[in-house]
Amino acid sequence: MQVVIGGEDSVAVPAIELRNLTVYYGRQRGVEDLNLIVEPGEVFGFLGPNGAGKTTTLRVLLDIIRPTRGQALIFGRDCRREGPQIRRQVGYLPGELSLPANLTARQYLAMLDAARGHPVTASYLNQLCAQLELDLDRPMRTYSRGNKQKVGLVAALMFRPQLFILDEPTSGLDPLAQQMVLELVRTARTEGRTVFFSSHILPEVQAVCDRVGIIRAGRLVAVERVDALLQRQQVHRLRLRFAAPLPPAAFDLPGVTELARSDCEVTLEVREHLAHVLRIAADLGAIELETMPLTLEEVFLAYYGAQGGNHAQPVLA
Amino acid sequence: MLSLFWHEVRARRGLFIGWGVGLVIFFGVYLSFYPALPAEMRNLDLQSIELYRAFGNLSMATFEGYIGSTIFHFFSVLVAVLAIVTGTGVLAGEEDAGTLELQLALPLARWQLVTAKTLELAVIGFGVLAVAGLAAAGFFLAIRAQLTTPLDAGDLFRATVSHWPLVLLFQTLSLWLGAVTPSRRVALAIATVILIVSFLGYNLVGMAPDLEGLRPLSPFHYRPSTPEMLNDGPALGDMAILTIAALVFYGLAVVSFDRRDVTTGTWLWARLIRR
Repeated sequence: MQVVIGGEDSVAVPAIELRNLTVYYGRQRGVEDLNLIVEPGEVFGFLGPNGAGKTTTLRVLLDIIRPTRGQALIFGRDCRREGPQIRRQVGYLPGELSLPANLTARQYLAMLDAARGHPVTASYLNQLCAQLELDLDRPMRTYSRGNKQKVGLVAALMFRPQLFILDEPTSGLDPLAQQMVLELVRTARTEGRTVFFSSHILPEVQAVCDRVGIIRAGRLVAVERVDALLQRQQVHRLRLRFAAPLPPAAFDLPGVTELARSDCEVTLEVREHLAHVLRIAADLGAIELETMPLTLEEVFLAYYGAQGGNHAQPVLA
Repeated sequence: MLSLFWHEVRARRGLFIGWGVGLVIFFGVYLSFYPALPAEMRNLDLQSIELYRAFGNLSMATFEGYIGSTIFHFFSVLVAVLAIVTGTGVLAGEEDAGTLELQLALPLARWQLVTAKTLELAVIGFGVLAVAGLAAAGFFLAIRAQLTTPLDAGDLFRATVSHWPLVLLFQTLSLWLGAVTPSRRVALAIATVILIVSFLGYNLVGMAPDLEGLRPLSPFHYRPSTPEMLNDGPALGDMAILTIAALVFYGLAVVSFDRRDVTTGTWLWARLIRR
């Protein structure tokens, strides 16, 4: 959906806009001076290690937590002042999902549907449940963590909102269900919906997101298109083959790490002095050079490595 | 908002049944006990014993005295406990359990959420009291032939149900405490202290004539089931005072919850503390 304001010179209203968003919990830092625009129809991955401020940001968007300073807007509306109107268009999956144990999923979803004014069609609900292989008629106390997560996903998706805010949506799901969730995200994008998707599982972000924002210690340290981030990689991995055995310590340079070595072959991770490495390879008579693309995960790790870290490493899938 | 309210009432039917059954047993035990009391025990002057005086104006000489000063005296404490358990169970309890987050994602304003919870508490309170009142009336009819009393079953039902404003007051007080404190546990502790202080304080103050003027500060001063009220019906003025106090705490809960950072487990004023 393209939300626009104005007349002929109308401009697209961002699906999400953060303006100097700052949250403190007393003296404790939540997030600081976040500025971000997510365009309508975009799948945006919000990446960061645990404790970086992802969930805080998402909760501000839902008006569960109030900003200390700054502003969060959804479709041009202030999340604080116009929360109920905004939430009509937002499907939310919390990161720490808890469901009432004594109800069946069907009863619970029926309540959510009624509270929203019955926007859910039975056929779409059935389709979602079939896709996720979810039985709605059991008490939720009998559900596994993965099934509870599926109920949360159905609750977020079933009324076809314009914006999905998903906090680590694949958490607790088996690999098949994870793929199904990513497929649902892709479907949402093809339908023109916006997805704001927090995760610390990088391959899934790489698989579905158009752009990613990297948050570290409460600050947004990078916002990039996924393809650009991969292209702008700071680390290069090269595999070189030589006609003759390599002398030892041939690539003993600062910023260059040997990942593997045999008589006539070496795999290098090069952070600095790439031109120098290539000159040495040429001088030694390299007969084959292969560049090995880094995954987003590796780029992310490299980024954190360069920046110092947040006392937390991303949890790798 | 109404759909959420009905859902919540349905979801808490276990609590409703549990408390209903408990209070039925309470009335069953206490009422069926009275005809078996020996005459010398009924004529005991309990007020001459300091320990008993601390628990109020206890009397067992007449059935009305027994009902009003003993059964309903402790009943008012029991239902206040019910009120605190249910009052801290919504909002604070749901925040602790994590089920509040998805409710906050609904297109409802926070005042609507607090209102739905307050209505739910009111319905639970009334429902439990109605069940208890029916039990009181039923057990009374079962022992009626053994009693000499002008009371009828309707008087007992009315006296039981007229505890509703007292219950609502403790419920909304607990609801408000849940909106300002970091967790249900803290809200529960504070509400319990308030209950103990107001109940024991009310009775102990009665032992010191100079402090008699403090009694109106306790909600138990307005409890609707003194022996006189059993005959004449509850004092509407007292019920109005309790109801108004309950509405004040509801208002405070609305204002406090509207300013709360939910899920953070902090005091309401934590955000005023800056780095």
